[in-house]
Parts: sequence; C-alpha cells; structure tokens
Amino acid sequence: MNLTACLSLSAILFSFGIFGLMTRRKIIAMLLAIELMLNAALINCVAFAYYAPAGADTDVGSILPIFIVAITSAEMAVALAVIVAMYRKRKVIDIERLEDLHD
Amino acid sequence: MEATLTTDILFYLFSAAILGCGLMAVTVKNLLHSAIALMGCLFGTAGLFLLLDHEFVALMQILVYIGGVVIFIIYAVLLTTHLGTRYLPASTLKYISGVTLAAIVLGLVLHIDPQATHTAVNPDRTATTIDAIGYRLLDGSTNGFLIPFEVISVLLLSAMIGAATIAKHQKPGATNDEDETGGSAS
Repeated sequence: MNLTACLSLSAILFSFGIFGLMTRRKIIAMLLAIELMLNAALINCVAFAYYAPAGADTDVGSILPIFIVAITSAEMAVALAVIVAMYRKRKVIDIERLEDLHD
Repeated sequence: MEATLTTDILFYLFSAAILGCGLMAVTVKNLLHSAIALMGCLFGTAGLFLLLDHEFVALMQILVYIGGVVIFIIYAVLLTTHLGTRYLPASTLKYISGVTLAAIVLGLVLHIDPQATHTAVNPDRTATTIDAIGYRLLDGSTNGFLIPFEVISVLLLSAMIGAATIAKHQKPGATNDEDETGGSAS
C-alpha cells in the first residue's frame, strides 16, 4: 500500500464513473455514476493527507471531505426531487426522450 | 496504521471490493441492483478510510452516503421505475465514446500519478482527532474554516427547502402547466 496505489485506485474508480455517465440513459443511473466519481475524489483527499510530508496540515484531509459530502447531499436532494417531479408530470426518465426540455 | 503485510492484504481486498462493486454499479441492468452495488462500493471505501487512519471520514461515509444518499436513491428508483426493471440499452456510439473518454482520463491520470514525490508515510504523524476537526471548523482566523462551514449550512438548508418545494405534489390544473402532451394527472 502506497500513495501511487491509492491514487491509481481512485483514478480507475473515476474512469468507471465517466463510463457510467456516458453510457447510462436513465437519469438516476447517471447520478449514481457521479456519486462514484465524487467517491474517487474523496479517496484522493484522504490518501494525500495520509501520505503528507512532515509539517503539512493533515487536518484538511478530514475537513475537505465534510464539504464534499455536504455539497453532494445537497445536489442529490435537489436532483432526485427534480426527477420525481418530472416523472410525475411526464412518466419519462430516459434522457433521450427529454430532448424537448429546452423548448 | 503501520504498513505491514496485513494492511497490504486489507488494502488490496478493499480495492477489489471497491472496483468490483463500482463496475457493477455502472453496468448492471437493474437500477435497484446497481444502487446496492454502489452501497458495497461505499462500504469498501469506508474500510479504506479506516485503513488510512481517517476514522471520522469513514463514519461520515457510512452515515451520510450509505445511510442517507443511497437510501434516497433507492427511494427515487422505487418511485419512478417500477422496481427499476425496465432496461434502456445505450447505443453503440455511446458505448464507444464512453469507453474512449474513460480510457483517456485514466491514461492521463495514471501518467501523472507516479510522479508524486512524497510516497513514504511521515514517521511521526498523528491521526486527526475529532476535537481537532471541530476546532478547525469553528476557527475564525485565516487558518480556520468558519466561513465555509456557515456557507455550507446555508446551502444545505436552501437545498432541503428547494427539494421539498420541487417535489411537492401539485394539484392538476392548478398551476401554469403548458405542456400539450397531456401527460399530467394520469
């Protein structure tokens, strides 16, 4: 276990997230992929704090994830509320059938 | 934690769990199953955080992500897709573009990663305590995080109010709905 292994893990997880974001057609599945990418970012934060050189401020490695998690929760709450409202109105969650949203 | 053979084995076990569940989460057809796979991925990440001496982040991961966000996603799946069974296949073009973009990003990041210089653990490092996190969050000096902390609380409150307002059930015909598709109140 070293820094490069942790960073490689998070890079692979991030690329899974991008793959999911590009290939999924349901909005909820795309949100799930975004969640994976944010998780990869969290792994980076913690890994950099753990392998920080002497004299570095390692508390930030625990504080930055608080902000990431809070913003993610806010984003998820609003996005899922929009999805539920949209489904109630149109019975569609496939993004390729929501093209008329920009009209 | 001391770098020993045990932590190495644990690290690779957690990594395998994270990557396996992560891949399942983006490929499985049933949306409910992929939400549960995401849960496994987040559990693995929490274990990794414990291994990296960040107990607070690991607890937050379990409480907020698994206990909150994933449950919320599962609720949204159940509310919108009839148990998530109807599968919508993506076009071949989207598959190709998804794989290409993911490979490009992965290649770039893996090209940069090995150039990280500080790869050894600082021998006299101390694990961050919850007390220290609390003091730093409420510290108003230039070293503290008081203002971001307050801003994030306002953001969370407004997001909650906004989500409740958006998802509130509207009476059919009571608002300015202009869609001529006739999809409302069915």
